[in-house]
Amino acid sequence: MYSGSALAFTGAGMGAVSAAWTALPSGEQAAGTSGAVLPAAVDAARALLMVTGAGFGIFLLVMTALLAAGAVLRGADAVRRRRALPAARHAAVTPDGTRAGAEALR
Amino acid sequence: MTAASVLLWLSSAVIVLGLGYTGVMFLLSRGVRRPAAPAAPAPFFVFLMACLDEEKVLAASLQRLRALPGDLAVLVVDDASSDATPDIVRAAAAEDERIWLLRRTLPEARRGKGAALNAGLAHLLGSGLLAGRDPDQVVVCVLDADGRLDTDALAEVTPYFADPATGAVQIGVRMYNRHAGLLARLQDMEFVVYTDVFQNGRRHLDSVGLGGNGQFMRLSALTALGADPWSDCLTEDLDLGVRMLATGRRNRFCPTTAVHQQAVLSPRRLVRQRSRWFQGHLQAGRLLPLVVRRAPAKAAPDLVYHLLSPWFLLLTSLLPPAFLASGLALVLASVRAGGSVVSPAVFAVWYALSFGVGLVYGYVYWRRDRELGLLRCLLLGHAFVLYGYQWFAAGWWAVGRAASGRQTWLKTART
Repeated sequence: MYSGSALAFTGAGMGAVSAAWTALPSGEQAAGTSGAVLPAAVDAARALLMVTGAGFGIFLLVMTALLAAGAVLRGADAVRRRRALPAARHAAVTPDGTRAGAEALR
Repeated sequence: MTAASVLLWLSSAVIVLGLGYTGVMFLLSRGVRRPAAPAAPAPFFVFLMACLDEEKVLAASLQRLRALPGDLAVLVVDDASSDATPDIVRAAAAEDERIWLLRRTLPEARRGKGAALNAGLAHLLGSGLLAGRDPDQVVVCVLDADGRLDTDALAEVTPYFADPATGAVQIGVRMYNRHAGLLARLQDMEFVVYTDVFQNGRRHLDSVGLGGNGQFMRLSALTALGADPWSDCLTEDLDLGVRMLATGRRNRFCPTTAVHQQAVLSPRRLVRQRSRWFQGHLQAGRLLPLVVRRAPAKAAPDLVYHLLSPWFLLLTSLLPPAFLASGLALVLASVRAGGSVVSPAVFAVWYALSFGVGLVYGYVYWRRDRELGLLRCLLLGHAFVLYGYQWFAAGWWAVGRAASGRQTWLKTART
């Protein structure tokens, strides 16, 4: 049983502070007050977050596109079924005019 | 707003989606209603066990199944075992005519669990073992060789099959060796949380998934999927559950009974096992076209999210390094400032976002298993947060295997 993806979000909150650090000064701004390591760390965090954000944007786009495509295909299938129904009814009328095989239309 | 700030806000939205999904599932999962007892007679149950070198656990498993109340039989598919597995089945069959054996031989054997289950189903249908039985009234249960069903399992799942739309019923999963240490306990908690929160929540969305153990399926629903209902996907259970939903059948979750299986006791073997599941989940992405077109409209968004979630998980694996980098910056800034540059409120937010869900899961586990007590369950919830990180290692390992074209895995050995 695969049960991981949703559960791993338990750990995702660990990155929340990083997200909050989007408010941090950029590396260049921080350099003036905090030496060399600080701006490097801030820049690394921001870079990782921006990659995550870009990936998430793509994820949302793919999911939306799939659901939209699915809605169009379902609509097309429904229209096709509706059009096929009168034809099936017509075919089910026997030469003497009586209806047969109603079960087949379901 | 610059492009950089848009990306940074999107990274925050990752956490909103992750925690929001969990929160919605938690709310949906509350208030479980059991179906009324059916007036119709109980179905005939056939336990299907795909076995490869299971001599350590099989004899006891067969003994337990024979002791279950109800109309049942057991078909053991021996997948060319090199140990005493077939002899154990023959001995049990000599004592009880409800025990059946199908022996597969190389080169057809050992081609994965799905292939063994398909061979078992073909044998059931072609051998006359089910002669005269209505396929709507036969339920096939896939059970691991070490699976230990609760004694009320058949009675608990029977009411769900009174609804003719029900194609399959998944029951809960527990670890019978959960007392063997923290790692085993966390796996038990993982399955309890998954079933009690996510499977229960999915009942409202009609998107309940099937697992490889304790998976009950109506025979007519199985055969509607074709001659080989189980695919070669590494998670053939996930694959089958989604395809069954796409045929218009309903998957149900029964939270009131469970199958108990063996937890993995070594971290390395755990990550290896999860990596196999993760790779299977990636393979199941091929079902997306089927899901968007054929799955029930109500279930489609959740199923699409579920099938894409391995990619989402890989994305979230970038967050902990970002946290470490920003934490380092924070410490350095505090040292230079001669005091903490972060207000206590930020620490509170960090704790709530990092461990708040762990507290909820601790509560859920306590509701299911009172032997630990609430306080210990809440503490366990904190460990569970850190345990979740093993999925990142498993996920990237699986991506590496998929990228290099390696699609086969050895099964997890019994201990």
